[in-house]
Amino acid sequence: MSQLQPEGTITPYQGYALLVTTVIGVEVVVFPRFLSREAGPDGIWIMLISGLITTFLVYLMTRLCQQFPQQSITQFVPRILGSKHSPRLGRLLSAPLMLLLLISWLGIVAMITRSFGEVMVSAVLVETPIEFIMGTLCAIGAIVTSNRPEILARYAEFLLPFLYPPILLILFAVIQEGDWLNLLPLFQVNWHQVFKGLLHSLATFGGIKVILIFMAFYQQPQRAMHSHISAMVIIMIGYLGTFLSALSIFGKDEIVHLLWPTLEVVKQIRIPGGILERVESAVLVVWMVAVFTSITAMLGASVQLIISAFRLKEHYRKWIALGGAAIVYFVGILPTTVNQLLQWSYRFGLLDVGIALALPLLLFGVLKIRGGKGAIEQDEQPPV
Amino acid sequence: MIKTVSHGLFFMARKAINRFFSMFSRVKEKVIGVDKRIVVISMRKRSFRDRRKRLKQERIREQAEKKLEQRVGEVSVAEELEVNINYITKTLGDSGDLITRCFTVQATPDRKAAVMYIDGMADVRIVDQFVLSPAMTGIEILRTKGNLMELLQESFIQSGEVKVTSKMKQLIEALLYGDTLFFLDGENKGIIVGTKGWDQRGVDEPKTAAVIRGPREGFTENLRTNSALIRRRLQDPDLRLKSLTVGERTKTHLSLLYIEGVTDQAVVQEMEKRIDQISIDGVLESGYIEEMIQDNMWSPFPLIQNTERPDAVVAHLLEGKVALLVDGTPHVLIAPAVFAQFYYSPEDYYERYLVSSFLRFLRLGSLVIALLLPALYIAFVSFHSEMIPVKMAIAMAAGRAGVPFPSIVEGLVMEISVEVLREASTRLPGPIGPTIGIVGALVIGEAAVSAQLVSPLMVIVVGLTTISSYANPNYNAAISLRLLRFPLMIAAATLGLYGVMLLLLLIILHLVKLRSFGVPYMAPIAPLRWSDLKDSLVRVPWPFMKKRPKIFRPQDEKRQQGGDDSI
Repeated sequence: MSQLQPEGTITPYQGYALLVTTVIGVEVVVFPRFLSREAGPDGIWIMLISGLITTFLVYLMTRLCQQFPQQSITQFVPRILGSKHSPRLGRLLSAPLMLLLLISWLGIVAMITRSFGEVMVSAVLVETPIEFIMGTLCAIGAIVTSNRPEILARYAEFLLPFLYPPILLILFAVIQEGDWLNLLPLFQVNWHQVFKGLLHSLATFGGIKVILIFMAFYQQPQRAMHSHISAMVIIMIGYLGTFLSALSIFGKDEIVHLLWPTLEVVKQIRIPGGILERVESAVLVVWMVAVFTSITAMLGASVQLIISAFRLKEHYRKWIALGGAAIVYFVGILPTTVNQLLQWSYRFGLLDVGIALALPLLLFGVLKIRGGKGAIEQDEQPPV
Repeated sequence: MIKTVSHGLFFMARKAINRFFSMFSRVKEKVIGVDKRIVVISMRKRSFRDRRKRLKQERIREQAEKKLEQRVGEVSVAEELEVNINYITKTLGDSGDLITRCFTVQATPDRKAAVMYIDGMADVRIVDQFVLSPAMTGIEILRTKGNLMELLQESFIQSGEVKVTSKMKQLIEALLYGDTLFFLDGENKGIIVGTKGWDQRGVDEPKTAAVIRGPREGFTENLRTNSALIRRRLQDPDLRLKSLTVGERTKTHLSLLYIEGVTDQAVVQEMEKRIDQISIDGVLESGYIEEMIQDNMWSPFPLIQNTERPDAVVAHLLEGKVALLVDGTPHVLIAPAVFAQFYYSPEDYYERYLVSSFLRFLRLGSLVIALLLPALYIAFVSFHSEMIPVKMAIAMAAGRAGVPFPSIVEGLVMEISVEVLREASTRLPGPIGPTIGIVGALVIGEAAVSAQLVSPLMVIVVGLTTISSYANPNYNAAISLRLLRFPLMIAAATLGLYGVMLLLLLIILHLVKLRSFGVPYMAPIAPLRWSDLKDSLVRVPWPFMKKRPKIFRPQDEKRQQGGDDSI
């Protein structure tokens, strides 16, 4: 007897959408300031290099997950680290790794939520308490993440097209206000600045390791590489465009005095025909979509991590999502000032990228040393 | 999410009622003055009593069903004519519209015969000319000897649809469906003669989903006329028509239509399964069935499409969907349905592709306006006034200067009064309807503004919203968006654009989660299918749509010759 269409798995395009919407998020409005402060116009190529580095990390993680199709990270990491005779050892060894993943995700989501609240309060909803904005955002985030990863992927897929129009707007601003001279002079930095710039630009790529969780649900993990790499290219183009526009409009000296440089870029736009006087509220709305998809992807990844680590039943998902959102809220209100908040988000972003670098390298190393013993079971998997 | 909330509410309500009643019983116990332990025992007893009561009720119901079965189920036709006539007359309770005509068959004068039909349900001309007349006068010239019953059936009853049976239940069901019963004395069988023919509305232009170019025929209330309208357009031997009956008392006939080899069999099976599970006393409209078989009961969005147009049904059947015809209503159900198809008109495929693509963009725009414009107005006025161009902002402020209410009150009052107007003009008889419109326009449009109850811009916003919500070929999809407008307005008044966006994100989550008979509701956008996007916002010319949409999993993908290549 034939069956109705099942809930479905994550298609390659959905994988692309997930990665793009996860990485592009709250950082877009802030990072030109840091990058310009550390490296000036040289941020352009530093951004490019860090983009290449993260693309390489994504490549590593994708390769790792491709070796274990349809298996979640909580299944294959113990297998790599432990032995067949004592599966408990593997799970024991992988526990700190999982904890680290969880901490980094929840931390990033908390910082995202807080930063979003700060921007909202400073730019649009001046009289609304930030706790209320964060609370509603966390509540809605919990509702969304109490759904299965397949639905989260479809959600990201649906929302992705809304992220494209602001690119046009930013282009518009550059044409109206930009000055190419602001992009010069290049190659004026020393190695120390390059390093610090690199760290700052790397931190903006936080969130790439959600693919470790979501790849377990991919329809064709073999085709994931293409969609992930193209997602990274799109993200790089988006970030470069944002940085270039902010730099060309304000110049490297003015940019460091702006709290939210990208928002200022948008404020420069004058729409001909006079339909809207200023578009920053509209852009903030789109940016909210980007932020929200980052929150749901990372919170959803944490929820799925817990579910699969403890092999919980499906109906616990909403409670875990609720608990995760509560943690996010209470961590989010911890930073006392915006400056501290930005420091924290920088560190969490770095932690995220650091794990993204260390985890695949470690696991690949162990795999190599053990002669692919952990991956032996993959032959038992049905070919996809 | 809505489902969980309503579940929760239901649960809470049940709990509260339980508590209320238990409190009651406790009070009773207290009055009598027994201690707590006895209360517990009595509570336990009570639950036992509940169970006994339930069991008793079940038994009564079973017995009633058995009685009904006994009354008609196993009874077979008796040999005596009188007994049969009496039985049927008694079963129908001496009904006034039951016509019984007894006569003598002239070939054998000792044998009487009877014809029974229900006045108004059976076509009297057919009964008179082709049943009564040959049986009463034609048999006189009968020379051959033989079984009179067989002769009657074979030569004298001149009707296409004749059935002999000895089961009383079948006979009575046929009688109630407009057929004529023929009994002959001495035979323990009855003949059912197909004489269905009641007065009905003719095939008319459908009132909903009007088109400028395209067929003008619409379905009627008659099931057979409707299936014929479809058959005439789809002369395919693979068209399957399954007859089903729903409704324990109304015995409403349904026809499930699909094209074998095109439609996904799983959908057909699932449809039959869900219809089988319906147990209701009456089905008066396809809406009953729709609510009972749809995937998500709590969604504001329609998950099954209905249409009055046979051409639309054929088009959907060809895309691999299933159509369900219900007797007594011109509205035919089509499943599975996706969100986008509620914004398509059949005309999109008859008009040239540029025109129809333009119209689809227009409908998308009107969807956004109908859903969001009042909310955006409220958000802009209360929170984001910097976005409004300066000159316009000044004009708006001048317009709003005398208005004593905040914009949300203004908006809700106006929107609700427009809804009231709409409802009033729908229900009123034809000539009065437009009058209401004029009065409403005058009162709400002019007087309210000059009395400074609302600002002029609000009137424009409300007018635009209402008109936009009608720029949609499907009424039930339009009304669901009109419902969502109100929570969006409230969100806009509390949190501005941020609130609107939060609610929209929730609505999108709900839409993305929905499925209709296994098909994701937002397909082909999420999950994205490039090949199906050819018939979405843009309708490409027919030569490029060589395949059926993949989202409905058709068994035969090819629509045109040369559909093998990937275009």
